[in-house]
Amino acid sequence: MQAWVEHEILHIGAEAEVASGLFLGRKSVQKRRIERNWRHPDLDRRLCKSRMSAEARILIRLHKIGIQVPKIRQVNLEGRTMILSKLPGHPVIDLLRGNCETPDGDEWQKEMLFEIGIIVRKLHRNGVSHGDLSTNNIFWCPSNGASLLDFGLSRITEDIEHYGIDLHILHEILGASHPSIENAMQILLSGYQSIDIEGKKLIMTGGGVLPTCKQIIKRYEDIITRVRYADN
Amino acid sequence: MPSSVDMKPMSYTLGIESTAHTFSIGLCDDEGNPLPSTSAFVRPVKGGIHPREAADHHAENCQSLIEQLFAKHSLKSEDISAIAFSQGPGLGPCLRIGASVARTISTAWEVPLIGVNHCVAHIEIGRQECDCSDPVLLYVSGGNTQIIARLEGKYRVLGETLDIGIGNMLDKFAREQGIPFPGGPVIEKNALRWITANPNSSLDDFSLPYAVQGMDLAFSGVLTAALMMVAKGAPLDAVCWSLQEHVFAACVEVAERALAHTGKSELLLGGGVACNQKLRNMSSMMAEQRDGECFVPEKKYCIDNGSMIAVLGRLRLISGNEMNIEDSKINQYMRTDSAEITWS
Repeated sequence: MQAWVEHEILHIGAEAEVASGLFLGRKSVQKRRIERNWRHPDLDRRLCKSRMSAEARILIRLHKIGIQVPKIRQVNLEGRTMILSKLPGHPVIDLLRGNCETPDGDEWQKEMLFEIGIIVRKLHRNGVSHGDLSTNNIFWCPSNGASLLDFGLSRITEDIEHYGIDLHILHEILGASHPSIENAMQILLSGYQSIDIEGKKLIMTGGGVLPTCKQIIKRYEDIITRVRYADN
Repeated sequence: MPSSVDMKPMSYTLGIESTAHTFSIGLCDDEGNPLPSTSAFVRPVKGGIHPREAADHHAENCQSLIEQLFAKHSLKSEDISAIAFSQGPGLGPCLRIGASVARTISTAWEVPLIGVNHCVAHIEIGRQECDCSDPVLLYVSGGNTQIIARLEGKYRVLGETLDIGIGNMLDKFAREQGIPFPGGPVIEKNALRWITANPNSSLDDFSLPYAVQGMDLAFSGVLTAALMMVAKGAPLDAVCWSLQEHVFAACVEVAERALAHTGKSELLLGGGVACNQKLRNMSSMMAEQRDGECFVPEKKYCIDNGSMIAVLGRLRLISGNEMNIEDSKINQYMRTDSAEITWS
């Protein structure tokens, strides 16, 4: 039996090409990091290697904790491919743009944003910063809630800056790509703040104290004013 | 051939650019085609641009630049049908000079006045010059590094630098090596010299941090690392080469993310750093690899110029945005997405 049977290409992203298919008979996706010929080959190799290993390491860690992310089925560093389990639901970008089936009414949007806030907070509570939280990289469905993918730019860190930047990326994407949803970021942040117990310290595995929810939101607000021509 | 009697007299929109180190007056015709501008640049002997000194320079040069422009294109004041100026973003004292000149011309010649956004002007002249319709703009200049695209009726910023602009970073690196402003072209020359002399050079020997932060960029860390690399004895040409390879790759990667995210296929370059041939090559290779297309305006329309202000001013005026003098106050912090797009 052929290990990987390809069905179709799902998405050509900036980072990789994603195809659906069967791996050893199970529904899966294959993520292929195509060589970027415009980039110097040494740099391309270095980035591909570091991003693939970061992604694999962090997916395993998050899966163990029980955060909804794809399961790793195969990693091929030389071949630049990774085979992952399929996530339930659709990318948030498609849901918000109506490119796929959505629940009736508008209420689901709020529920979705709130749940995205929760999963991002869970990630941060476990010492992981995503690094590329665009609406392409978040899946959602009414029955399973939110899940995250594409951890190539992620890192395990106690540096508050990276957590602040995660929220800032969400802020920019929601403002730029989906400006029609009112208070999108506020709803997301209320989800983000909903699971913490006041005054409880979060210790990282291996030592170090993680920044609190409040501190991260404060830093995020600082970062907003850092970009060019922020409304002062 | 139509006789000269049948020909409709041409009228022109003037445009004044004065956001930073450049003071430039340009124009476009009835159909929005830009004509070459006349410009003067501040070139600081040491350090960066001093806003007040730059403004003084602009004030001293504006009259002769207008005269030169009128002589170059054999214009009379009756040929001018509107006056546009860059209202922001930029350095306050510099912007104020441009705005004052524009208000004066508008009042004296009784022509409509229109203030425009400098960043959006870079997109519109690119669209006009390269004949592309719905591009993602990679806008790379001294002060700005932004990825901009048209989404839901406005130009939106999809990614940008969180610290210094890429041009500013290159100039600062150059300055520390004793290369005068602007340093970008010299860095480009040095880099080319290195790779021509050492075609098998490995980038791993001159590895620098990578400036991508998700959809955003940050260059100050790369700058520090590059300066330290030179201080530790690496050849200057090699560091110039490595610096270009790293920071341009980061810009192109973020542009590619924006293309993937928006589903658009046209990439447009703008800003002074877009004059760099290495960046141009990388950008067009990236677009090609995605089955898209890359557009680069002529150098004179990549750098800050008055004609791009005229092009955008004309578009805003014909779509009904004439401005009262009371509303013509400059805005140093004008956001790219502050105005609705009222033209096609």
